[in-house]
Amino acid sequence: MNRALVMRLIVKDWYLSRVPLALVALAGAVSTGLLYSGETAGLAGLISALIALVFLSILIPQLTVVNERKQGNLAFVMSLPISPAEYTMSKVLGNLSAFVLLWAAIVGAVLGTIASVPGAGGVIPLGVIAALAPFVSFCLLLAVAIVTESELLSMVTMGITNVAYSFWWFLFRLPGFAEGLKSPVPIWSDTILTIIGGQIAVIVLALALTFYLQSRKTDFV
Amino acid sequence: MNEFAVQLTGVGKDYRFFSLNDVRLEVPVGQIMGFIGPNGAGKSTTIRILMGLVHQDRGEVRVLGHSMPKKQAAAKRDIGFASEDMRLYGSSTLDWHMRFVRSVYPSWDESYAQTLLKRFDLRREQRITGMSHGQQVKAGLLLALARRPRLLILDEPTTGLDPVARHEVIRELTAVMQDDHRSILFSSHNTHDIEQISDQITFIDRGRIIDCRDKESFLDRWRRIRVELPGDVDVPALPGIIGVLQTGRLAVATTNAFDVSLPRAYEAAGIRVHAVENMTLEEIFVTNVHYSREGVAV
Amino acid sequence: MLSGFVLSQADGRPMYLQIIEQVRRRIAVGDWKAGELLPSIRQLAADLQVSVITVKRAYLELEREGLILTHHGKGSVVAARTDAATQVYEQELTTHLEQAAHLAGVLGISTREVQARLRDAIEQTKPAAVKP
Repeated sequence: MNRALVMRLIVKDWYLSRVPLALVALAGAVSTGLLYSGETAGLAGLISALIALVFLSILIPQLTVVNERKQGNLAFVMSLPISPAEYTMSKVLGNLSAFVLLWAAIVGAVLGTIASVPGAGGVIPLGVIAALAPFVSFCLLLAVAIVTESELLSMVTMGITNVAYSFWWFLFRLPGFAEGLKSPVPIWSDTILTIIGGQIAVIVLALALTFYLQSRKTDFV
Repeated sequence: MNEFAVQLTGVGKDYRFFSLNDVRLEVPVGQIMGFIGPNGAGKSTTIRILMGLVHQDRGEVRVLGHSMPKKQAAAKRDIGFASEDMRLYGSSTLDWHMRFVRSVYPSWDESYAQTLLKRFDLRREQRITGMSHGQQVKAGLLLALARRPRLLILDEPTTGLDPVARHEVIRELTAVMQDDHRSILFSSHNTHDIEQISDQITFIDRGRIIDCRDKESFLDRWRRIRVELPGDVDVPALPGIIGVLQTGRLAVATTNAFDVSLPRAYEAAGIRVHAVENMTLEEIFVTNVHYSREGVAV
Repeated sequence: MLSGFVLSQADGRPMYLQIIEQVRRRIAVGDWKAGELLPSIRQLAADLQVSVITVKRAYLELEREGLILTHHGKGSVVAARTDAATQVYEQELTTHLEQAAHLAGVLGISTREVQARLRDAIEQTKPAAVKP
């Protein structure tokens, strides 16, 4: 593995997506700011933080994988002295690092703010699940984009994950899901932990599948 | 040191509506190979295979001594690649691309890059989106050439260029060959460019190599012989003649194995030879494709 | 050595023949003297923007004609012959006569008539003072 070159490709992807990424960071900061300004504005802040995360989950794979393929830059990248495995590594690590960095900053700020409000601790487990949801859809989209290189299939994946967000409300019917919401301290029920475990499993599986399927691929342009 | 920069043996690749079969292609070190074929003949697929971008289903591919696609990272260190469907990053400047490529390849020659900027009439600070198609092609070639790679693989490098730009590109490619350790493989529909600068020529059609030899023997072996028949008779079949067009007492015979004995044989048969004409590479190519599609052994 | 050659795309003859002719002329007019080093094959190819194999072929033919000598690894030099210029014009004369003979054949003109016309042509090019 040519680490220096993989790193260079990652930095290149960050650099080429710097403007949209900065805008997402700004949206995250504004959302956190809203949390401090009263109850109604606080709810708007929560929602806008979630929207920023959803947007981020779509943005990075779209810019660095789908567009690169669509606009014919892939041949340029693949003509560099890299192997297909190094290409995959650069895409996964580059996307993951950019996403995780902004995701952790926004989620950290939002959950930190909630935790600092006395008596609001019960919201945190649900907050973690809500924060992991765009992470899951990001990994699914990234996997589909890298493996299929298809704009259409990426859009379909985006559509499916977006629709999936609306099933969020069904979770409230699960026993042990919403009971702790009003509690002053976080309550990690079995239901909550199972959901979080499932989310993490999907993330790991999507990334592992990406590497596996890429290693079997024979056409890169 | 291998005597071939590129060596494909029995290479094949199957797609739903197209297959590449038994491709044999050898580019000797220190030479330019012109790769000619109609649209959809398999030129780009072959080039992608030897870049490792597409993996062959069968056959062996060696580039600069490295087995492909397995050792592609090592091989590509010494390959300069440019193709018609390759695009640079639109939102970035040529300067950014130059710095990026320079950071990847230690062989980057900045003063040569400067010279190329002038010769290709390109501006460093210009963004790729603001460039015309021709300028983008030249920018891609600049990035490939300025690294002084041992092997240049160029898919349609002169397509879409104006005559001045084409001339500059041709000039740079022939300048590369002053170093006899360097080699070039380039594909084109423009047989004129290929005729001018290639040492070796390969014709491909419908996924198969239909002819391959050095350029001088190509041009030497193909001739048109204009004859006048003594009366109402057919032109006799002679070995090496692949086609005859006869109207009345005049006929034009095409050969791909010319020898002075051919016109003599006609004369001996009482047929007067009016002229023996050279053919351009384009005429040779078109005739070759025509006869190979008709099933004539060319 | 700079060749100063200019090749013609409109000239129907193959490139290697054009190169041969231009080398012959350089030697004939005395620009390139016996023993002088010719441009290397790769240098001339880059200079004329033609393939290496084309120049190689031209040099081979010139060597066969005895106009140049090639020492492996050292390049080619103009052959040490005093009659180089004569040799070149001799060659050209042969080519033109062959062409005349060919055209006469196409037109169906008899050998005797060709001879007569050649005599006329010679008469016409003679300077007036020498005429009997």
